[in-house]
Amino acid sequence: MNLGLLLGTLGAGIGLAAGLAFNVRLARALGTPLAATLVNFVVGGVLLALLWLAGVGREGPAHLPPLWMLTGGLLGATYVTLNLIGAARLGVGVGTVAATLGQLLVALALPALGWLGQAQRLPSAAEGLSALLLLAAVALLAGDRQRAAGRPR
Amino acid sequence: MNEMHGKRREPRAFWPALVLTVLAGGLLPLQFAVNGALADHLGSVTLTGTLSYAAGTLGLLVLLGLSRQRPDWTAARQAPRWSWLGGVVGSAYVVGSVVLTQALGTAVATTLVIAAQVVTAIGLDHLGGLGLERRRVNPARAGALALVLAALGLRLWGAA
Repeated sequence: MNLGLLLGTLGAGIGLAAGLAFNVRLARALGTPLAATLVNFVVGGVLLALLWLAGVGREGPAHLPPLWMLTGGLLGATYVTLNLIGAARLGVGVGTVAATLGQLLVALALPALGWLGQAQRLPSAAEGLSALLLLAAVALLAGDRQRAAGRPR
Repeated sequence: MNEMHGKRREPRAFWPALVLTVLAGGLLPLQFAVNGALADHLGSVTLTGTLSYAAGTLGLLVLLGLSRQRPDWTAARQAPRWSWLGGVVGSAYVVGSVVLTQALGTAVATTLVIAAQVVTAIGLDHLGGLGLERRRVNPARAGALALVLAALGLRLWGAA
């Protein structure tokens, strides 16, 4: 794996988890998760537009995309809002692992169903087992959180 | 002191929140796939991110307009400045996920992102960073972390 990919991975993972923490704080002040997500998207969008204008990350010829490809942003906005509502109750740790479980399940289901232009392919035993391990991790964290909530201190 | 507030949450709200969050997570691989396709057309990850964010912003404006929620912008101005910058780290996620999906495919990209994500989240909770309630690593959380890493190892090994 080259350095660019490593940085991409770190950026994506840290961006997701830390971004959630930033949003939790802002949503608390604003009193609504929708508005906090909106701020998040405006700031992120302006930053990326500036980077694009500065010529960062431009490679290859551009083709006009079909409209459905713009729905990625709607999916992202829905994710940020729902995750934010959940994390207010669960904490960032449990919130992230629970989101991870959904992420893994759909990443398995997409090729199994052959949706969104992916070649149809059933999950392997290793992939199934890895989803089970993740489910166990969510259960462990959820149980831990329930115990902590029940214990008076 | 912060811990005290956390103990008084009603447990009932926990399970709906968990289910909601699992569903939310399921949207991410869909977004990976759609944004990856968009980046192929546009030939630029930053432009992909810009358009993706613009579409999300429009959607949120419509929702906010339809809902009766009135955000308290005065209170938000008094919140720490850094709390406004979630979009900066968020855009790192969008660009990173597009680059990864193009190079490695949705399955491996998802797996790698999960690793960085869970380690960051449990670390942030442990340190109580970014204004979060402090939740230290205990045996259960350490066990969960080990399970997540094992799940990832299996996944990468299966993909190789």
